[in-house]
Amino acid sequence: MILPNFTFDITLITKLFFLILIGFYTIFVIIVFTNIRSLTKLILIKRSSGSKLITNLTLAYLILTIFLFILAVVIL
Amino acid sequence: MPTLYTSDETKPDIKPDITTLSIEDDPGQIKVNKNEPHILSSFHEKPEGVQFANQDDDEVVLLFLRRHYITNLSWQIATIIFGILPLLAFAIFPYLNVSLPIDIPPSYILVLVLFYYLIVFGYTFISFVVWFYNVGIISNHRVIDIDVNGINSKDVAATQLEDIIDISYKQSGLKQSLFDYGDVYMETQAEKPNFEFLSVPHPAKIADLITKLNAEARRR
Repeated sequence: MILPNFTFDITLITKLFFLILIGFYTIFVIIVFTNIRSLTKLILIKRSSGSKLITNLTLAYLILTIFLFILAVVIL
Repeated sequence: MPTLYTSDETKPDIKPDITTLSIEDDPGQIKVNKNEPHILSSFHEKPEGVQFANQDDDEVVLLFLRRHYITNLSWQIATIIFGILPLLAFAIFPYLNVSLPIDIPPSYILVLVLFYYLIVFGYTFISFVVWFYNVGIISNHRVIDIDVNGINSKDVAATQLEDIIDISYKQSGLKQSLFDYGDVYMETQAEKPNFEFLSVPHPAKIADLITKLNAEARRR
């Protein structure tokens, strides 16, 4: 009996898996970004006491995630 | 429970006090403010530069609280372990003589490692933000408890000082005794939720302060 030769592109599946994963993570980071912004409005702590650092880090986190998503689209 | 959040348009206009001015406010002025809480401070008496939404004009923050910094130890250790893990894997893997069933291109590994470190960074950052914004405030009018349980869940509760009917604190275990931190519980009048400041430093001091403020508020 001859079995049909099923070939599937593992590279394509891996690529799609990574892109979907990073895509979902990007959405999560956007949600985190908006929530932290609402927290900074709830309690105002002086810039020198860390709130400015947190605002900048949140933005950096969002930018890094979007950058990684773009990198994944380009590289993979 | 009063709503504490207001948009920027309705935020109370708090006039700057000369003692709270710093170089950031006016670059030409000598810095006179010395009582701003540090980024990692978890117990700060009469802090300057801490305000909250719906703060009254004559309301002064007497005590600013966060969980004791030692409570962050677990996620900090986890971050170090997760940070080292891929490095260890890359160092050990060549000596194991194990081959993967599929051939993964180096570009995929690069993206995977970057993504992994982004997740580790995210975990660390979110843990820190949750600690940073999980605050308790005692003002001359009320007690405010802001609980951030994860990044998209926050619970804000406030009560007037005179509404508190019972104050207690609990310290248990070696760690809490060693670093002098514990939980402070405040019972309020019926229909209102009970307040708790968990894992805060110097719980006895806090309970004592609230008791005094409560007695003062009741006399007024």
